[in-house]
Amino acid sequence: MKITIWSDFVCPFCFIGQSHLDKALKSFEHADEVEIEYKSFLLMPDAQNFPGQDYAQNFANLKGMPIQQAQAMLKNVTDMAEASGVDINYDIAKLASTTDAHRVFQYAKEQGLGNEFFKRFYAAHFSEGEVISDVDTIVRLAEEVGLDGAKVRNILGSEENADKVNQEISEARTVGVQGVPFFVINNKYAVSGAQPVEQFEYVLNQVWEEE
Amino acid sequence: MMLKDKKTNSDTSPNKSDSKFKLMDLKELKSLDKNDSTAFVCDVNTGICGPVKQEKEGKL
Repeated sequence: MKITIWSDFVCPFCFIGQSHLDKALKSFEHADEVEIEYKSFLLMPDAQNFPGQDYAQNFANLKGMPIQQAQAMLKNVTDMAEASGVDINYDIAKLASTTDAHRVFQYAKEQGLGNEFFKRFYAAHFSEGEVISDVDTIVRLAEEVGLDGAKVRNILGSEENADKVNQEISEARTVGVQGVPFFVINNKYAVSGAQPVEQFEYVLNQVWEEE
Repeated sequence: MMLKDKKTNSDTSPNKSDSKFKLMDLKELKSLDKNDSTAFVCDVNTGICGPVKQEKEGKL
């Protein structure tokens, strides 16, 4: 069984959805036969880190919305994350561009470390307050995953893998993805959004039976 | 539990790397929705995140 997931490191429901899928897989008896492939998506391509500016203010400015609306959205996300046991802390999180991190993710995927890379960058962004657009930070996190730091630095100093990131985003547009996370199973079944654990359990078993 | 995370060939596109895996159009994908569950998504156009009833997006 192959599960393809379009996601971004700064997408909170992608982080929560990944946690729910992982929990569902723990009770799925064929979990060892599941292959997961993440695909790049840039949810906020214009995002920038502004030192000293809190997340809600940065997000409100980026989206042109009232700060109260941004705060309410982040509060809803935090409440849901807490209920799911996922550590999302917007008090320390730093909104940032993920373009460069995705270019390195493509390298991680080539090395068979794509899933680990995605999970490490979710945690770095949402739980640890890391600026995941910063070159030194990306290199350090990539090395923690097991990637060659020198190669990562070379990628970041060039435009390498930009075409691969764009290709995967283009695929999402072609498929018609309206929201992330977006899961496609065996190229036949679609699941949109961070569904409850039970829903993922149902989907895994349903697909296994049908296939 | 270790889930498979295959190495990919950097010289091939995702479609070329696995001939069995060719992306289908969304209209051809089958939605798996046990009940009228609420999906939590981040809109790819606005970046805004929140609950979205699957029915609002139409059955896949």
